[in-house]
Amino acid sequence: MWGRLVRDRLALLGLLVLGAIGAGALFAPWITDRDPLDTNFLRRFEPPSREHPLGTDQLGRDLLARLLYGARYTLGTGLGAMGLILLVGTAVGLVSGLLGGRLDALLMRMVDVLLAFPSLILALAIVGMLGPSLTNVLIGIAAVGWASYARVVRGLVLSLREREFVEAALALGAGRLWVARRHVLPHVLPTVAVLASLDMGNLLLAISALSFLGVGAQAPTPEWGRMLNDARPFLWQAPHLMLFPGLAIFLVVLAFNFLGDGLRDLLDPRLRR
Amino acid sequence: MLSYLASRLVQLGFVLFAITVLSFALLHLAPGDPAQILLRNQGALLTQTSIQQMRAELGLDQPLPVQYLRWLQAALRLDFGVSFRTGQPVSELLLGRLGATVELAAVALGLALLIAVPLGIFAAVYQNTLVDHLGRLAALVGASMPSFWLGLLLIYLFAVRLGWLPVLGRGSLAHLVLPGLTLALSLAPVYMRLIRASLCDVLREDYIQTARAKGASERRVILRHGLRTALIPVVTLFGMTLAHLLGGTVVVETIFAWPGIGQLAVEAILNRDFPVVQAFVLLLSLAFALANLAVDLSYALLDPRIRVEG
Repeated sequence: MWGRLVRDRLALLGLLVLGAIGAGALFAPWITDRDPLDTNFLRRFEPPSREHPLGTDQLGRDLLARLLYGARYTLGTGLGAMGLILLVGTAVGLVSGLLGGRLDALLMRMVDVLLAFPSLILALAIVGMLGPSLTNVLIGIAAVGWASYARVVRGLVLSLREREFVEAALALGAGRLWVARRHVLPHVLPTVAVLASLDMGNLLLAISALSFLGVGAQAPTPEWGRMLNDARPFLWQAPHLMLFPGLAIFLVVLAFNFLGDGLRDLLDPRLRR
Repeated sequence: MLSYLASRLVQLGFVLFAITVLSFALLHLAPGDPAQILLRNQGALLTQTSIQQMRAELGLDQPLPVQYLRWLQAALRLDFGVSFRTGQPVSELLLGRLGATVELAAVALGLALLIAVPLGIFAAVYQNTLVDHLGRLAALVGASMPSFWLGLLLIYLFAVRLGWLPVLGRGSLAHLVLPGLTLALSLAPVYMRLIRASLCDVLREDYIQTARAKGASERRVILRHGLRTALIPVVTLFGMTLAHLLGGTVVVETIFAWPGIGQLAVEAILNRDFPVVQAFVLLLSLAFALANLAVDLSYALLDPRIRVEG
């Protein structure tokens, strides 16, 4: 599996970029000794220089430090939301597919309803109601996002249930929970993983869009979407303030999309034409 | 077909019910007592009696199901109450802004198709060549571009550096260019990839071979025989991307100060003006649900090969 992934150069490139940015977020204190919140009113709007590799912002804060620490907020929220989505989506899909009956019908109607809303609009409304914060963005995005995963997992479970090894296990008297964990889940996870990697880019775009709109991270948190929003009034005098955070979002999303694209080809070689 | 229509309508009814309940709940789960907020905005004295009176006036003292039915009755008459902030009727606020959003969305959709259709055809015709690979790369890059960043970049390039186009607001045709382009560029990659995939499938069909064997020119084979069938899935895509389009208008309107309902909604959310938010969510969800129904039905009508089961 890894051999073919490596051969897909774009996927590999994506993986490398993500690794680099992830390391940047984790090891931020070792990469820069600047504090992302340290203001210096004598050195505002400085263009990139030796001292400040990416320049300084409207409060004289070091932009590189803000981007590095900001990766923790942006990526952390994305990973947290995706984790929550996968947990709930997979659990609901498994329960729905394996148990069937009224519970299945009820859960799937809930899924229908969630999918009947334009997702970003619903997330925006939920966050607006809970109050602007990055945590609430995570909750809003996850509350909307699990539905499509539940539907996919349920579909997979239904087709797996017809397979002989599952029937055999059930015939041997294995409990449903055990069958779910031992026989169904391992077959469901690879597909879910591919979906998640394909979806991760969009999730990050949604999170940073909400922060950009002002309902997500609040100042002075160096979240990337928030930084872009803060840079808007200074477009004329300091374009580097919007250039670098946007570039950071773009690169991470692109890397996830490269990776997801490669993983999809791996999972379903028939799609590769 | 009829039974399909019937089951689809039943489903729509259920979804509409759920949308209204959720929208209703949105206002009621929101923090703050509407009665107190309204009184404060009117500059009235906040006393126990005045609050009680206002609550009774707004029907907030009734049980929830009653409140829901009353709210629904009013909503059916397009009465969504008054804005917490300005005291104006919410429907007036929304309707006054709807035109701008529809204009922006329509222009963006047109531009996106103008970009995506030729590129999609090109990629399919030259599939698995360098052109196709570059097209795939371009689509991935386009899909990864945050629309709010793209908007800022376009503003910087065309308005700040070159000074060719106006930046903010609505008015002349020139005002439409940058917001329309921003939104179109975020939609185009999705369309392009689908048109390519769909046309690739169609071009493998036997009747395409037949058309070629008859001596039809390649151009005719692709445009007349191939594209017509290939565009059917694109109709479905319109339903899928409508959510993207609606979400996109919110972001783009905010960047360009475009006076549409998306901008209104963001302002309302930041100011905790929940009646406006609620009506906005209800309106867009209804549009989304109805558009998807229309797409499903037209899909069944467009392609006689599709046997719909009820």
